[in-house]
Amino acid sequence: MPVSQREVDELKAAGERMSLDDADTTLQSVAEIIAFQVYQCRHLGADQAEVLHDIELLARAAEFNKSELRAARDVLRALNYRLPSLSC
Amino acid sequence: MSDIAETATTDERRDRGGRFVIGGKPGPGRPLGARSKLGEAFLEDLRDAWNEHGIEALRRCATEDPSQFCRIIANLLPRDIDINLTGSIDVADFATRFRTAVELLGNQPPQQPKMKTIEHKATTNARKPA
Repeated sequence: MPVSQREVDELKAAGERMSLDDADTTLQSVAEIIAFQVYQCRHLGADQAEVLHDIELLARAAEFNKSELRAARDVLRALNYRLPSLSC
Repeated sequence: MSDIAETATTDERRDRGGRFVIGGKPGPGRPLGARSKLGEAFLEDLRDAWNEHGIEALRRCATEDPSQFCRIIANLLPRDIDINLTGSIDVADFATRFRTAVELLGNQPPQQPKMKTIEHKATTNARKPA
């Protein structure tokens, strides 16, 4: 199921409602953030399509730029993550 | 005779108010297995009665008192289903393992390219400082 603009707007709004004090800075790079998202989705029993959907939603809502995504893609590919949607 | 002895023993173990005294001798207690034997006998009788009348009782209950029948079924359903699955994910632990894996593969995230320096030698045409 493709990511809708409504979903992106909802996630953005949820992020903006959060206080900066609540922000978790444990994950530092885009690769770590995406990898954790994948891990969390799999932990909840999501299939590959759902994982990819959530990654795309995250990337659009967080507005990662292309160079960040390319760097993340290289790291994740080396770790054997299968993320065809990370073609930037 | 034994009743008198029992009473005397009981009196030794209690004070005037009927409370047990510290250091008193313990009573003989329940014979070993007495309670469990009673429970087992009850369950056996219950099983026999259920085998004989259970299905008929359920049928009568379903037709004559459907609301009670529904309550019985509802009571058999689990009351609370725990679907909280996110509690065991530790971000810090994940980050540590992820960084270790990246280091093991020698795949550090690409660094920004350094600015190139242009090496040059002074030539005779170069302007001398004043």
